[in-house]
Amino acid sequence: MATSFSPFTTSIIGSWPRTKEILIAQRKLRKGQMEQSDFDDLIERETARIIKIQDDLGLDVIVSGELSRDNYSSFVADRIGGVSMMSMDDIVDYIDDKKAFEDILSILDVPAISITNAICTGKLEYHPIAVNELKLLKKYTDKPVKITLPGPYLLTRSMWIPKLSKQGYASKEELGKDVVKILEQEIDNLQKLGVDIIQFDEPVLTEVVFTEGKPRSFMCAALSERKDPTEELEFAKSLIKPVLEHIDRSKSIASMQVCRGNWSNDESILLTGPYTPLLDLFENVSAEMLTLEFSTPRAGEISSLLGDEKISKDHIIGLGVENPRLHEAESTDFIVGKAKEALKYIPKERLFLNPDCGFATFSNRPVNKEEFIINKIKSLVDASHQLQAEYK
Amino acid sequence: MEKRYLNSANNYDIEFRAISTDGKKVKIRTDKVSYSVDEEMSFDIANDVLTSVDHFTGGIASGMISAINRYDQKHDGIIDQIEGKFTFHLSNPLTYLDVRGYDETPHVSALDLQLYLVSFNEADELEQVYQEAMKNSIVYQTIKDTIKIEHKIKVVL
Repeated sequence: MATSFSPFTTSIIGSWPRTKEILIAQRKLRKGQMEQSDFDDLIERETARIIKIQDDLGLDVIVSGELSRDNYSSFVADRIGGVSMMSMDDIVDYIDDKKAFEDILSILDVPAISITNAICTGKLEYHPIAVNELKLLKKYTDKPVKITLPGPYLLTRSMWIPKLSKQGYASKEELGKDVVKILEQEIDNLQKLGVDIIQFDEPVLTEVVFTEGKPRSFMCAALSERKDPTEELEFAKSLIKPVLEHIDRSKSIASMQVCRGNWSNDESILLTGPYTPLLDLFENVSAEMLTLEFSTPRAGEISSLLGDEKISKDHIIGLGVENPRLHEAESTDFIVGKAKEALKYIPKERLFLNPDCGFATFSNRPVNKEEFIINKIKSLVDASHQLQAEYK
Repeated sequence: MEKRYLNSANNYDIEFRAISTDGKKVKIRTDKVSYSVDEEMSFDIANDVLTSVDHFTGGIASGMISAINRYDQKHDGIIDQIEGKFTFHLSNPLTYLDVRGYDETPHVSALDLQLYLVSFNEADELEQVYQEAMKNSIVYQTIKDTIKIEHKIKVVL
């Protein structure tokens, strides 16, 4: 039986900044200097703490914080067979536009060795991906819970480097078929345990439509053999739709999260543009919920998305009302104002509130700090309560 | 043929031949390998052949990083990985290009180095490793009085 949610349900997107202890433990584990059981104990302790923070602050849906992951996507290298973790230093030889890559490293002031990607180097083999995160969530909270997973298009595109991946697959289309199967198995396992929202992250979609033929390698590994945006979006649809359709809607909400990149605190270098070029995809991938960023002017007008009847009539909108990269908490007035804009197009029952994106998409480059995040959650929850009182 | 030998307790000599027969390329021949260098310096952004200056600056970069590795491994071994972003400043390039009105000596005048050190240790400890490593770096000690070197260390977990 699916959980019923109140109007203006609140949650954060998924990732939470790791403590220094976790970052050190991640490296030690990778180097074989730490026992897996000790690492797991640390992750459980910290996850329990973060769950309690969310619970105490009054969020409606709780997330794990993705603490064991090195980043939102590449962590699958540790979970799926046939996938290798590679640093951008390893991958850059396969990237066409090396200068663009260097420019991004310079802007971020990060070394290539610190950016990791999961690359397909053989036949994929399923092992549980986020099942342990869900078990921890179920152990430490009775509230509804959300599991976040990298989407099938993101995984397929970022894992595909022909020279390496052809050891397992003749084409990225063939790889995509197995990515879909892997995610379907994961969905089955998550739903067996009980999960209220399954959210697939697909940030590369905005790279496809907003970068005018020059996708930034940083966000999406190589994006090699990239076709024109129309073909790419068709390919994306062919992967995302079967995965979202596989989610049993009587048990969980099927959500897709699409942002414009969350890798820098410098807003001027992040992508800009309304979701309009993605409307056709949004309408046709069977997402029950669209979790989208709307807190910054970069995202365009809410009307550009919700003015589309198919979107406004058929979907729950997880409205991004907070910029995860800003330390200062948004005012409740700001959040309420954003929600009221959306309410012109969708009923309150289908309006959820959340930040635009995660707070620590990349474990070693969080975009915010816990002390500020707590204030942002307070604003989010206060705004939700205010809206619930006003729209009883 | 290259010769490498200690000719006294205080000296070690490195000899090799450099040969140019076509008025352009220079072949470096050592006892193990030989390689060709096309020109001293190229300003063509499409150039994909290593020049003398590329070898020179690359040698400085690799020498400094190797010196850090060497020192660290002989001591506490606190550095996991090293990545450096090297920016060399070339003064008076127009003289090199024979542009009229320019006659100041062209030379590599400065190096800005951003060092990323993957380590569990604190920045001040890593700075100490860098300083000690440079004291025993042949490359660093050779260039430090002619090239102004500024460095910053960023610790990466």
